[in-house]
Amino acid sequence: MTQLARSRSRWLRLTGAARSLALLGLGLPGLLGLMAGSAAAQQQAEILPRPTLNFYGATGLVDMPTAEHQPDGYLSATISYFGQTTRSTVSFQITPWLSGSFRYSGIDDWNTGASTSTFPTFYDRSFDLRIRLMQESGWRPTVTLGFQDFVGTGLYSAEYLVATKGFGPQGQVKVTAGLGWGRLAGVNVIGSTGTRSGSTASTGGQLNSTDWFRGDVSLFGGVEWLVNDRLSLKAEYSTDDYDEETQVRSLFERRSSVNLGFSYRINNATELGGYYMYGDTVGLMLSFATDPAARPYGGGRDAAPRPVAQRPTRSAPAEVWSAGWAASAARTDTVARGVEAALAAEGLELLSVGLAADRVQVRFVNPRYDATAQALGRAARGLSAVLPASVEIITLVPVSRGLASTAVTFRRSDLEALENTPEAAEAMLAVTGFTQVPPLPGTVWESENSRPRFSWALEPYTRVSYFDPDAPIRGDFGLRLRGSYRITPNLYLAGSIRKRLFGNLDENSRSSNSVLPRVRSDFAEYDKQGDPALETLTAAYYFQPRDAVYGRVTVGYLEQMFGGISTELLWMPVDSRVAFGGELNWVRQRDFDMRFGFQDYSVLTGHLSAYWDLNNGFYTQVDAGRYLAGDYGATLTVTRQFANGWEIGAFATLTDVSAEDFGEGSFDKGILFTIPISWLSGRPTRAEYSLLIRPVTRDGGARLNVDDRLYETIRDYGQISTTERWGRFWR
Amino acid sequence: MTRIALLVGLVVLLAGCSSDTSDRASVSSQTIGLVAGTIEARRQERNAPPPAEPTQAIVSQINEPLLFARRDTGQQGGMLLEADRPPYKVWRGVDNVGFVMQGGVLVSTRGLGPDLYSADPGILPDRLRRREAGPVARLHRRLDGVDTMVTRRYYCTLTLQETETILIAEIPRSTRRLEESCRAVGGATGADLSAEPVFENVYWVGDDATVWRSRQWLGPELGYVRIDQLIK
Repeated sequence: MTQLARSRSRWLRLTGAARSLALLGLGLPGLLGLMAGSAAAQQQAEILPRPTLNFYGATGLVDMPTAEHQPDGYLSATISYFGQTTRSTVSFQITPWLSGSFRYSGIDDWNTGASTSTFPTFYDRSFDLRIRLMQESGWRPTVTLGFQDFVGTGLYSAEYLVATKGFGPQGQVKVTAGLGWGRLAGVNVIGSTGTRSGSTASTGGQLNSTDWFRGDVSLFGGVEWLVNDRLSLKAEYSTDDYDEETQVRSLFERRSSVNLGFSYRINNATELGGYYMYGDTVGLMLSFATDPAARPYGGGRDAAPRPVAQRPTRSAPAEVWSAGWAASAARTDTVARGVEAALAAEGLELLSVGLAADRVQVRFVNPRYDATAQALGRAARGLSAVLPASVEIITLVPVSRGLASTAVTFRRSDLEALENTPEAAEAMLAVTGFTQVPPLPGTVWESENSRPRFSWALEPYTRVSYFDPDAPIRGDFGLRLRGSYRITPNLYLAGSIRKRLFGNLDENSRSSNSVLPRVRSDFAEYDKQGDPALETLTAAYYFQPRDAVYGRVTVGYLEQMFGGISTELLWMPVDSRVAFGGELNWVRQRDFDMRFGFQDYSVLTGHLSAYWDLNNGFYTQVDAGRYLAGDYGATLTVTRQFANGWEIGAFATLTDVSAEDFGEGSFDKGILFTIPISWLSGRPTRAEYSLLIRPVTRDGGARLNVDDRLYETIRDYGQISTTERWGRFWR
Repeated sequence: MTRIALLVGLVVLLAGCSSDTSDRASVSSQTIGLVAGTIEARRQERNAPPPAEPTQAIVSQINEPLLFARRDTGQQGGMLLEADRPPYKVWRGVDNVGFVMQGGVLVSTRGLGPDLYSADPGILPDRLRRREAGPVARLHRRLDGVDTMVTRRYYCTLTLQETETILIAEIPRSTRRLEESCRAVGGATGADLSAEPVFENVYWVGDDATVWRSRQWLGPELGYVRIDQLIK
């Protein structure tokens, strides 16, 4: 084939890597992008559109970065392809000045021309961080410090210091210049700051901090011209020599250092780019971005709540206001049933109610509203219609797994007076009290809801696994049968069985080479043999030994790979941002076929945990203790939490297991996403989509998975969490 | 026959079944429900009949206070009075959209999405009642995407226009038209007025101080709604 024909066929082919990574990179973020696209129409136009992304999924030109950043909180997913390289990246603007990325790249035809190699496609995982040092204003440019692939195998490792300045009446011509080290110092080297070791540890995943900003330095740059609010034209001088890809493996030809092309915004969320790369080949990229703070339906499409029922005026006959009803068992019973029905109409389940002449305390379960304040407001409206006129003080106690953490108290007169006033939300919060839960007053009535109850569900499930070089993404689809028997509101029996209908999770032929006890790295065996699988079968008991102290004991088949006993204690006061807890578990490893049997390996694990809700939307958790493989260490988790339920975070675990013993990746790390379904639908629901991505699953730093740990069970009901979304009280 | 059975089976499979309330359905089930619901809603929107004015024939069958509201987007419906809490009236539509009005001025909406959470219309209801021109100060509140209250202040000018006879459900009503032009207050000093009016409301007020018709602004994302008082 001639040169021309070969290069043409190269960039026209959508190779296996590109296809797989398209699925990976576009899946959920793509769906969000499409949904957010509809929201885009609802947002007000910005002065300048947000900056465009580059092939590395970071804010930049084509292969080079710029100093700009995405708006605060933006989550973007990018997939790019050129010269046999496919990169799929997820980036998050953690703060206005700090952004992070996780990238999964695949390079096809890796064996071409190389003397030794065993991978037809080379897959690589990398993390980036970008820190803005200075913001553009007046004559000053924006300046950013970047770390590309700073903990990984080092294929893309680079550091850079870059500045971008906008020119023109609205700043539509953006000029970028920067200094690059590492991968960005292949061409046009202007100096040197020491030597780079250049070696990547065989296990990868090490922070080669001694190499940062060492070695050759190159000057790179480029220009972006915003033709209008949709189209941008870009030209850059790239200092990435692509030595491995072009000289060793002949994936494309690097004829020039100049990349040119365009970027087109299809809508506020979607960007499409096409570029002529390195004088040889065409590159394409597609990205989706969404702002978790821009909820598609604004305040929500939930149905208008019923009005607060007004009591008769004081001039009504005295019997209407009398407290005589409280002395009559029959009338108390009628009122209690009315309370139960009123709550049920709002999707809330009454557990028990204490009725006295002038006050009432209602304990209920909230299966519907992701915002506790909304559950409280709806409960209050319902109660106003059924409570006798003499009841003035209302106390609402949301209960979760039998644990009641907070009592919310207000006067009925305030509820009636404030309802439609302009400052209803702030005024109501000012007159609402949050306290520990007092005993039920007056006559106590227990609802049928607190009797033993059995429920079951038959539902579809999907399971996905990532990053196996043989198949970057695999999945199973099947049916799950789950049942739950609530013996008392504190004591549950629950179980779940799954049966795969179709999928390829069992095609993973890799076996673990771990030198540690194989507590997690045998996941392929579980996927292969566990069908049908008993996922969990547990008995769980929740108790509250004293105010602000909560406890849990769970026994049984706790998770996919382990069964045993898990115990936990948590201390969390009503109005506190800080909580402390401890967990102690004794577990045995389950058989691969996920039936009732166990293997020989057993371990005692436990952690002391500190949870800290910082006031600015960030939350950190530190767990220190013993992990499943018997190793000792600590895990740090940092999450950005949006009040609407979105959570995006990252975690890392360091234990006394050495990098060599741990194996590929050197230490356990990952990123987490939680997306509330109410954000997508606009209607209240507590269901959320949770995704945890671990670049490598090994045996070090492995923690037991147990359902319904204490912190996640009760934190929605604390004062901090409830008042954060207090505006929803009146919705 | 078997194809239909398979299709039915697939639908049941995807939706799942449960003894519990739908609130507790799994994420998979809720996602599938969400997607199906969105598709269905879009389909209904496309097949929706074109908007039509309510006629006297329809209105004469109802003996309660009745509003008719129509947004610029085409969403429309009748609304019944759900509660009377002087000075507020709470209206509810068939699709569970809620309006709260004060003297004919919209002060709160629910169920539209980016709702007007609450509005303080200042002395506007009084001015409308007396059909008197003059300045009005407004305060609007909305919940943003992270449930934070966002407050916007507006400085408005109410002007008296000509008398107009309008048809409300085919009954002619003699009214005076009043127009309210509102600029945003804010900017660098916190007291700057926006150069252009952000919204302009129109009210047709009858001789008995009833606001028979109005065209009011719901917010930047929602646009305007026309409200007719069909039955007082």
